[in-house]
Amino acid sequence: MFREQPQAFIALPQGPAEPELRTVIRETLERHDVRPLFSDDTSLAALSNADLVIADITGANRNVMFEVGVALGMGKPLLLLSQERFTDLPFDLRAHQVAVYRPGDMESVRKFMELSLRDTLRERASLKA
Amino acid sequence: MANCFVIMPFRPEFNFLYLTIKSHLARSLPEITVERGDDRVLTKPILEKIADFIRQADVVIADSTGRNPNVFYELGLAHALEKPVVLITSDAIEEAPTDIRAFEFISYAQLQPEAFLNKLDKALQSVVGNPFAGMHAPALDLFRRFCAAKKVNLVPAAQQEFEASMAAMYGSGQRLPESERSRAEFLVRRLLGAEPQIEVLIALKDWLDEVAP
Repeated sequence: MFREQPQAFIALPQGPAEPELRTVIRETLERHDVRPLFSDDTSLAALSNADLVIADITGANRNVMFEVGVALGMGKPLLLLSQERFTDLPFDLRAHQVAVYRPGDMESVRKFMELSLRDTLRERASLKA
Repeated sequence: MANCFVIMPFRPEFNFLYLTIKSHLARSLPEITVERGDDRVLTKPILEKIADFIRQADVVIADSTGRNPNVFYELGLAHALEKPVVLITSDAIEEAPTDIRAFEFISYAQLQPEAFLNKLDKALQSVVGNPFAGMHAPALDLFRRFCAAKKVNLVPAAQQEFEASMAAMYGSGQRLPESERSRAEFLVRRLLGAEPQIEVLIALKDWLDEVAP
């Protein structure tokens, strides 16, 4: 069945930045009419229907890393965030690139999400045309 | 797109080697297609089919292990058609017939699997060229224009890292985007390293909006 509204699957680790990050991501997605599916209130099956996967890999949380791995295997477009640099980032994630943000700087995260989402949706539209 | 034809004995113990080579090359040299004599089912005598494969090949990988007569017949055919041949074997090199001993072999019995695949990559690259080598210079040009326009001082990733990043993206099924803007972003990002600051990525998108809206 053809689905009009695009969906995004979001995996975030618990932590002090989580509530704010969640709000920023939800607001940005909803502004672009993308349905947010947060990993903690949906099943992993939702990932296979997602058009985009957003993950914060701060601290290499094992649930988040697992979901990123599944997304990578399914060839989903990935948007990766982290509060710190890694010394041992898995090889395949190195290529996909991780945007490093400061935990207090939600404005940059908002702007980056906004622009990335716009570009992803634009590409999706041009592929469909 | 380059064709690579693999000549080896049709015996079960070679099947894994073939599958390993095929799946590895799909990642490391995505512009190459790898085939073996039994990959296509055609209504033709086998020998004619194989001759067609060799004729269409840009490069041939031949495994001389066990001095299999069919392999040597096909190898002779490849030489006659002046195809570049990468010879591999798990035997001692002295086991090879004198006529081909003069060529360089990649001996996979004495190499770690990764080292073998690495050598195979190098050998094939010398024939078909590194698919990403030509993309580094334009990427670097875009990168410098971006840095100058946004007055940011960044060090681009080394060419090797750039090519590894491109290969990994191709390996996960991504291709260079069609549109000029997306293509520019894709290339510049491969030079920004694995973990750029979010501000840099925002500046890159801003710059692209200015130069290629």
